[in-house]
Amino acid sequence: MIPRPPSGRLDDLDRDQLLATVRRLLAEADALSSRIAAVNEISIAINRDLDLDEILRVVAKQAKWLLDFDHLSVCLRADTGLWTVKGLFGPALVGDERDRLGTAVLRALEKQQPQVVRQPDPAAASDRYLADYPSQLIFPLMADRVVLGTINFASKAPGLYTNDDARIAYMVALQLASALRNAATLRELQQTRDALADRAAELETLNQELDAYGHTIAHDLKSPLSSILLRSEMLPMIAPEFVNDRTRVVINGISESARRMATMIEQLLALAKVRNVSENAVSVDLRGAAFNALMRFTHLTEQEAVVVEVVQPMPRVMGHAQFVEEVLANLIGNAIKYMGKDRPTRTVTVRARTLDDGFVRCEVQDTGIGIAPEDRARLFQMFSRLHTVTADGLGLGLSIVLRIVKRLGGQVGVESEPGVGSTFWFTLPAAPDSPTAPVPALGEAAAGLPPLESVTVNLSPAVALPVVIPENTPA
Amino acid sequence: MTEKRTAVVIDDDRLLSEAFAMALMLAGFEVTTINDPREAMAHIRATAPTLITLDMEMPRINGAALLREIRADADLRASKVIVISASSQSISDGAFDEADMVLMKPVTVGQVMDMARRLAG
Repeated sequence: MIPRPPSGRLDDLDRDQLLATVRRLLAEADALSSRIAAVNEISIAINRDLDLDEILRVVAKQAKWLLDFDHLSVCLRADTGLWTVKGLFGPALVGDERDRLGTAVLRALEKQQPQVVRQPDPAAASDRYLADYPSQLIFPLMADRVVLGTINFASKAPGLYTNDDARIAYMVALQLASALRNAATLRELQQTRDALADRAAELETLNQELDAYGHTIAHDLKSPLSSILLRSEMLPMIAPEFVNDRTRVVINGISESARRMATMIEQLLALAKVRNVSENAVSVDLRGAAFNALMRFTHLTEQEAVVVEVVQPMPRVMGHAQFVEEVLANLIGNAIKYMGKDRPTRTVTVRARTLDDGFVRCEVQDTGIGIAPEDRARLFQMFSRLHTVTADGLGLGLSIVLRIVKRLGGQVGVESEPGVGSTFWFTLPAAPDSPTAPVPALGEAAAGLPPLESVTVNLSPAVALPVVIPENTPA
Repeated sequence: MTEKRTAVVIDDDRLLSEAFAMALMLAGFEVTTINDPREAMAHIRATAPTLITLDMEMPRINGAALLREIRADADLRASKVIVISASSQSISDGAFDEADMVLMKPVTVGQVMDMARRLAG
């Protein structure tokens, strides 16, 4: 404080005295701002860095601005679970000093209370760690009421530390404890993440093996199945004298069973393949996909006397041609198969339009018997089938549709009125290139096919490569 | 041509190749079956058959390799090759582009007859 002049007037103050006071105040302010800056540095490091060594390095460096000490260390639990001292400043710890804690450190850990040592402690006479330091500030590092360790300031000057110093040590301990907790949390998170990544990789491998396994089995079943099918079909041709009303039932049963099994195999293969729908979607001609899908049902449309119309033009979508075709084939196939007997009109209409939200909505509408509201919910579930009598396959068709469309970022749904018909729809992202591209996908031959009452697979050389698909395609 | 039409069935599945052979016989072919694809080329070269059916998925020599070899042989230019596959994936991969026709398993008698009529009629 500035001494008060006897006159009580400011003008009478001694100029030199005043200057000295100002200088002292400035120095104090300076020291204080250094301390504040040091604390600030520590908190920046702690907030910025989650690496334990880096945090300890900053604490060691900045602590010099906060407190006098000849030794600075932290006591932390090692990976082994034992308390271990890590020197941050001062003569390096030797030998088992690192593992043997001094009396004050043990007390701080045990009582979870700061230990301020101002003079040599008789109880610590046999200590090796910090034995040469009569002044010590040992502060526990507490986080969530758990002691993580201690921070240890020590000086060779006896009686050095004041209560203010203890307060500063407390602040540093608080900051360090919170940094340690963050670092530990991060480490745990990383470990959890690594463990999850390992597990995910394991599952992925397992899934791939399972897919490959399923694929191989389904694939290998096709050869013996072909053999059964061919033989049962040939039997009446080779030995017509063998065929009568009773044997015909048996032979047809064999063929029918084999065909159903073929459908199931196709469905299982298709389901396994859906996993390969990759992220890199490309622009797909929906119209081309619809025509290709329709070609699979040439036989069936004739047999069921169903007219399939593809309303043009159709927009392009983002996806994969093969999978978009699979979706359409499933929906068109179902519409034909489940049309029901004695329907006055037997029409399946495929149409698509671009919506305002950047998606294309594609609909497959039929004039079938419709689906009761209570049945609609489980339509898309795996292995659920509404028409147990007439249906082929495993009832995987719509769940394949759902899986594919979801993977491609779209949605599926159904609207239906019993007795009038059903409309199955799906959405896919619209392709940015052309909203309604009239690009022919099947070459001129297919492009020339008007309303598709029956599309026949053209085997002339003009069409790229004729492919005959099994009659029973996945439902 | 119509008098003596010959076919070679190459398929590692003995029972299936037998069934194919029967179907082709019904369609009027004289048929040989080969279950070991390594023996296929020698036989094909020796007989230059009208029709070759080729299973795509075989051990040791894969169908696509055999197909390339057949197509590379000028003496076999008249032979029609029908590829039989269990996987539609190979079609999109373009593995069968050189084939005259592709049939997907399971194959029906109707398809075999139709195919025979179209390609070697």
